[in-house]
Amino acid sequence: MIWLNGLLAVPTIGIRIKPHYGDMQVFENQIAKFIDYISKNFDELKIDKLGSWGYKIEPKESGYRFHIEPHNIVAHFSYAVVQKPIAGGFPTFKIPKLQSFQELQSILVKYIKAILELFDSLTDFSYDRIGLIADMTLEKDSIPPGIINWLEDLSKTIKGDIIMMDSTFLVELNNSDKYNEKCFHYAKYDNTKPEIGYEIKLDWQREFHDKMKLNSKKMYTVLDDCITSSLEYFKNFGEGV
Amino acid sequence: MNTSTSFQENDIGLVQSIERTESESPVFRVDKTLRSLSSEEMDISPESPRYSVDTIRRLNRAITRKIPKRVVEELINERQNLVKKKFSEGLTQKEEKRLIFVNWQLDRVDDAETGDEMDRLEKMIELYENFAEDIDNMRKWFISTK
Repeated sequence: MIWLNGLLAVPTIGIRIKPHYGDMQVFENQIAKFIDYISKNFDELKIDKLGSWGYKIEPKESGYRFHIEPHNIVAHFSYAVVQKPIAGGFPTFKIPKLQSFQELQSILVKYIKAILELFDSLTDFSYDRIGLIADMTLEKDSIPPGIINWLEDLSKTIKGDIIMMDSTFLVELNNSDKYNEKCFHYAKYDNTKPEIGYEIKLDWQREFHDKMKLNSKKMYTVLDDCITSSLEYFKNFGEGV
Repeated sequence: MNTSTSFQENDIGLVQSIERTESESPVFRVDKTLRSLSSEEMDISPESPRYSVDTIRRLNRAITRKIPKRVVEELINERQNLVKKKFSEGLTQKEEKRLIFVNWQLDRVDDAETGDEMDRLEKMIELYENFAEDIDNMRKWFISTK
């Protein structure tokens, strides 16, 4: 079991694409089909335009969010608090059902795959990067040992106690003939505001040297491989291996 | 399709924590400077809620309680084996790190099961201690005014 599944961690999946502007009408039509697809699962959708051809699609009160635009396809989840007004009483607050990181990620993968399948008709579109993010806010006791070690190592060369930190580290993990893999490590905390907690984000990316055709069947394999590699990295990082 | 779960038992706490966070800092914070993939592709921060530490602790415990018993049993067995090996032949550096991680994970499981109750107990003790202090102060005041 990966440590992320036992914490309040949320996933994001992003694919950087290169558009072919001659196909933008088809692009928008396919987004409309995706909206039809997700509207079967959710009662109400909030849809906003992003630039000239992009859309931000948000099933209301679900925590899911999709940004589909000519340069990116992104699926994200967050535990959004929903306020329910009660006549004559105090409002209550609800959050979406709590699920493990991998459960949420597999749902996002399902939606990303649905988008990719719809984009098969965009034969001149290509992609060059797949990114997978694990985003979490933790209280001090729940920080896994690997991340504790990392934070302690960062402060070793500095005399005195660190009160506040806001850092991003980009690490190259793997560089092959076809792609390179890197991971942004983001940590932020402020001990003068202990009510806030530790914000930790791991942003793993595989960037291909050459642009690859948007082909759903081939991309499913690549996406699954990226998920396996990123989870392995996240697992080892949290465990301090 | 309704995917929401009511947090009725914690509603008051959640309300308080949200009110506290709102009064001290914006709940929805925009931080565009240190975003990597998300800064290029989407700004996820404005609508991502920022919970108080108390709420995070409770939500983390709720998620930890979802870890299947089978996995917890596997972790307990793994810890037993690593501890046995530690005292018989010693552990490699990798195994040492694994033992630290397994202990952390099992601590989280324990905390998820008993943490809420322990927090309540701690608050009760704090209340009794304050009450005892008040009584003591009152006793001193009576003596001084005799």
